[in-house]
Amino acid sequence: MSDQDELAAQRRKNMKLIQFSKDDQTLVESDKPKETFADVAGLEEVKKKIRMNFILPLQNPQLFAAYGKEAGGSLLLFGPPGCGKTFLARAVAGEIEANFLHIELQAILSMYAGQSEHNLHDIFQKARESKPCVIFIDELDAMGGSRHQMRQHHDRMLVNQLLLELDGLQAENENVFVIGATNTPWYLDSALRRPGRFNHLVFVPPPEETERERILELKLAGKPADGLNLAKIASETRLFSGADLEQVVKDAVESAMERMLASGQLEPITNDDLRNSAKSRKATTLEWFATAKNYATFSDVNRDYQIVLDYAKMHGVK
Amino acid sequence: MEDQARESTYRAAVQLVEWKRYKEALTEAGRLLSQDPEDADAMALIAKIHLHLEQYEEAIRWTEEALARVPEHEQAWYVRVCAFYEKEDMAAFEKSLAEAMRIDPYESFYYYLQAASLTKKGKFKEAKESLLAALEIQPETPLYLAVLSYLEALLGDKEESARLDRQAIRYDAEMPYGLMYLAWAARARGDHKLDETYMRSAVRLEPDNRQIQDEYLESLQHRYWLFRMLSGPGKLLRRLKPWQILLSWFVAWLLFKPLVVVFILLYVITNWGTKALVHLRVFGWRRR
Repeated sequence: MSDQDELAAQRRKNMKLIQFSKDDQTLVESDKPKETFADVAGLEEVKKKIRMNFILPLQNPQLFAAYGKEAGGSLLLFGPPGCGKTFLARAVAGEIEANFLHIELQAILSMYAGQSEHNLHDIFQKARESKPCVIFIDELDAMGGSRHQMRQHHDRMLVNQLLLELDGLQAENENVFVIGATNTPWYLDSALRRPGRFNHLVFVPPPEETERERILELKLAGKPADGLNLAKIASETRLFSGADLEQVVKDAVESAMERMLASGQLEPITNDDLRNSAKSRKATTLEWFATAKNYATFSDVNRDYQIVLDYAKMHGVK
Repeated sequence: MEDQARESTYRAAVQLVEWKRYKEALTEAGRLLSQDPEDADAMALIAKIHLHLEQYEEAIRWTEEALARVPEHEQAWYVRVCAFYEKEDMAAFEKSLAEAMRIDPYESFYYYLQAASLTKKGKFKEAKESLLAALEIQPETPLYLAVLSYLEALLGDKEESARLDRQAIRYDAEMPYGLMYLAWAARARGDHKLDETYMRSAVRLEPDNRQIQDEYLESLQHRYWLFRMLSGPGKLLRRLKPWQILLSWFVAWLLFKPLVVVFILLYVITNWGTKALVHLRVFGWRRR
């Protein structure tokens, strides 16, 4: 191991995951997850886009400055639920060796309910103290929804605060990066999409066939199985999300266990278990695509979601 | 302390409804019920969430549960009236509406729903009365003004319709259903350009709503003068009572048999032809 590798390993070891604790409404630290892009199966195009626009400019700011590109900015991941947006965000933090501050729906809810002393500014302040730090706002639409549709003054104030913090990041802070993820980018306040805020919009699609095969392989690892043809199952589970595939495996495991209870001996998971389980389910991403296509067709003045229409056309999504 | 926790769970559930995260809201509301199985507020909230999820039977069932505990629970009655209206069970709607109006006579939305149901029956004058009652309670509600503008257009007072249109749009230009009513009013006044503008704005705001989509596509069809010309008699017929429609068809058939056949054929061809052109314009060479 070279000195540089050792240093990187040491830094990685010291990294923290900061998360909101639902029990006592505070921010708690735990060991940082070790995911990097190498752990993300597939999504090559997405990873390439993130590297080009987010990671490489941070690692080589001078080089990118020569092309007029600035380091940093914020990244918005969108796509159907269960397709790995959260995992990808964690991997980004791993790639740039930064602390990872994860804001989930419950934390946002607590800010709305006003029962916690933590407010948005505290969270951003915590990130500034822990830099280099990636703030990952999951379910961004809950915090940054369109102000026009909000009835409560308090709700609008939170979006305003988020805008202030994002602008503050650019003006005052280096090495604090924000990644947002949402299933419903069309609900976001348009002000969030202005330059300097969430200006990189990245579509995270459902896994491709080879990725599905790999996911199935990972989910089945260590479980008794017999004569599985995962490539075939992968080809029959078009548009299934990672979460859908996990459910397929769970159902198949249950079938095998039912046989085990009947026969009294260990029964392996078979190809038929997986096929029957896959056949009994519909890809949950279909509902998302139906909504996304409507927004892309009727409401997409800036053509932000053209990529969704192109994807739907290419993959024959009806 | 317990009350505070309950209050915060309730607020979280309401917040989730505002964000249209109905499944998560149901989970939160379920937590409220597990803390107190007799909580009528939680039941009414669950009913409201089912209403948003378009699960009307479930919504009605939960209002029954809430009303069995608190017979005059205002939110439960509100959800019940809306659920019957959406389910198009008009007999139950009218019965529950009367009771709900007795309990909460200052809820303007009840008068709006009453007006909407009367409009469906073609009783425009009575509908106008109901809307005026709603506006008396909440005079600056753009949706009510938009519906009134539509009713005035149907009743033939184009000037008043246009005045109400301007008033409604001044209060709020981003209300999908209000814009749809204003588009219908503009269409009834013969202003097809404004009809299309309003429908385009409505579909941008609520692109996932099938009714608004269909109305937008229809407003685009009205761009074609041949379609406008051929659909004119049909619109006139829609304003008549069923027996008047039957009689006029009978007379037309007796007097101009070949012409009626030619007209119907032309209408069908134009309708489908303009539909195809609009589809191509909006969706391109792909399916809807």
